Amino acid sequence: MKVAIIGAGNFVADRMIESFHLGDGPNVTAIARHPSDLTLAGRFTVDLRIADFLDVTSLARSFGGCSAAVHAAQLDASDLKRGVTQFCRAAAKAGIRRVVYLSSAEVHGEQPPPGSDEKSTLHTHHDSALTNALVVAERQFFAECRQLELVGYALRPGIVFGPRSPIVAQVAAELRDGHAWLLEDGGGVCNSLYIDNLVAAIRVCFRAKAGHGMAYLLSDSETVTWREFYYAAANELNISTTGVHSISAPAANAEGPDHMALDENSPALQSAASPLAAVAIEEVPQVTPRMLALQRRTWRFTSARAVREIGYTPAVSFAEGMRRSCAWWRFAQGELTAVA
Amino acid sequence: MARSGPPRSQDSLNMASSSHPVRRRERTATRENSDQPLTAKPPSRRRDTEEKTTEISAGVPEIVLLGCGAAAREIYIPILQALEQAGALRMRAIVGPDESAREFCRNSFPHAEALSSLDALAAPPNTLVIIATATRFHPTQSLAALKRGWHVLCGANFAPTSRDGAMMIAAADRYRRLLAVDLHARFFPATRYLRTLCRDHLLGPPISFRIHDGTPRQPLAGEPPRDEKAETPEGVLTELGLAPLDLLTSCLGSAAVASYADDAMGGVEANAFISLTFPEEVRGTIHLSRDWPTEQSYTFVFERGIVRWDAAGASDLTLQLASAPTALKGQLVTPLSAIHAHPTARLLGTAKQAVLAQIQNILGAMSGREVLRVPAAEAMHSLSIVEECYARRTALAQPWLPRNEAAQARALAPAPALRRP
Repeated sequence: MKVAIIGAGNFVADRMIESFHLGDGPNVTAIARHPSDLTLAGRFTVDLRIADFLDVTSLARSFGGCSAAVHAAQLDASDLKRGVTQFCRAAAKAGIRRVVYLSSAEVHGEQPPPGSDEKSTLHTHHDSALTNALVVAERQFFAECRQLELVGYALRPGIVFGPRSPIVAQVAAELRDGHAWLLEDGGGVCNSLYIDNLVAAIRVCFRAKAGHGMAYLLSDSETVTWREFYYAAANELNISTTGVHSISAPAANAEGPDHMALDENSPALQSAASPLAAVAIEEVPQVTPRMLALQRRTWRFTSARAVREIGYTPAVSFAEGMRRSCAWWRFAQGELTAVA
Repeated sequence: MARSGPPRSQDSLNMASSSHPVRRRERTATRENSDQPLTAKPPSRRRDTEEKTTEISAGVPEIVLLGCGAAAREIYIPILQALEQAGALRMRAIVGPDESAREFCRNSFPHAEALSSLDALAAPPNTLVIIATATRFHPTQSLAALKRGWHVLCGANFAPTSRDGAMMIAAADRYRRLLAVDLHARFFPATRYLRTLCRDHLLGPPISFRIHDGTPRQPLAGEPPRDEKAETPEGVLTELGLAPLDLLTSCLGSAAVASYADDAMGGVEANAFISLTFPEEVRGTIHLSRDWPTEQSYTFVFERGIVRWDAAGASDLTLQLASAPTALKGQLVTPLSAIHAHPTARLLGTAKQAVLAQIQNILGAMSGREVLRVPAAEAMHSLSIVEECYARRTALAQPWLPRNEAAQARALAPAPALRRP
């Protein structure tokens, strides 16, 4: 079996290419938009192609010889719907019947209400244009699959972490530099998903006999809070957690938490920072609205449907995932020079 | 014969007074405002005392830029524009296989021809071809240019192998043309300062070093969508290794490779770690990466202090004197005097000025006014170190991989001495 993976150059696609090539397969065609995106894929003897992700003909040519395709490309919000459309049509044109689309748990919004799962009705009235675009794109994916009679699976991962993931790099750098922070006691739900568990779910989609035409939320087995996420990273990196700042968010306005105005420069936010900030000028926590929103989440998504319908099993524990992630981060800082 | 004599002693090119014409020119360059291009002088017919083995070019030199990628856009085009505006050269042609990339580069030189290959170009003997393409093309492209009677400046990743390099140098000798290699970091005040520290033991003898260099590749500005089978990218050691090795060998002498590991698993490496030893037991490591941003720093430990050069800046150094309570971060400026009042300190030079100085030296050598300071032979020692690395290659440890994948990664790693960059 050979699989076309579009999106080489982002960490999810690159890990998929690596895992398939070093593991039990399948064979891979790595497809990128730019030659500069093929650095990691170029370490292997896999087919490398450049294609226009928004052009059916270009994509279809790059899919040649493949029997499945995975859309792992990171497109701008304005290109998401068209990108998914072209992906599906290119697959059909190339004779591919089985496709996997990496959607996101973000389709449930910035603050998913309790009880959110795959049966929840999605909407496009979010404040975030990206969230709305993700919802539209996922709907378009299923519409194209129906029309083109493709066997399609949409996966909704939570916070994907692992070697080369932006979230691990961010947290590790914050801990190292004394900028790390947690909202209140860090009890917000992380909904973490180790990258290899996502790759495992994609593999399952290649051979599943049923369950297509549906979306699947994905998460690790454990419920992980943001405090646990940061503290696990600190432990692996041998960094003390006493320097992790605790901050309080501004009070919600009358319209509710989804409409909270978050100003990272607001005096309220800054004054709520650790007292140490007034003394150690360099160690001010760098709070972003995005991370604040993530840390405010209280609902934990489960992978129950994926486990039940397509046989998904998150084999890598959170602790092991964090160990591997931090091992990579140390290497990326040039600390690891050991020979295999 | 190409101007391939022994390397000039870089610590002789200091700010002290000198009667050598080359040094006088350089001091003039560093006093200039970095935005002011130097005025081109008419080519001289003066002959120096060295045996003339290279034909002297007369008239305003013409330049052909071969390659329209990142190196062309970020390094050469801004400098060539400045020199052309100063009348020091004339851009003859932009050459590259991709039309949109050619046109993007030609925006800076509207009068220049845009060609898909050198074959279609007619240019006079005082033409300099700047080869800013992938390393594997350098031998054939250099040979083609030299045969046509043109001088050549090769990008920093000089040649795929030392055998190729030797062939290129021999061709330059045969056709009596200059073959230079882009080692413009040699012209940085910071690297010259490091060489002085290492050779003159101003902070005591050097003990160790640690180099981190490289960042992920970026898409080119204006790069249009494409649809094609992609070429395998260049290995990071081939692409980035010569510059740090050149600095180390010019500072510390001949290198011996203690170990080398990279993460090629059937393809080419994105990460490389080199461990080197030098005379007087100086040891250190080089970490190169196109995978993840490195801190791009060159740190030298001496008996009485530590000096760190941030590779992004031509004059930026951080100095930690032994026993001093803090480090000092700054830029290299004109020297102080213990006796005389001195004029306002001036920055010694920028990266742009270094590239400018290098190209001006090549143009000067083409017209016989100067000795070529970066002949291709200067890159051969570093190139041989790269080859030795590949010959001794071991698989890089990747402890974040599952056990089965790590085992397969080791199994897929190419055998030593079978690597082709």
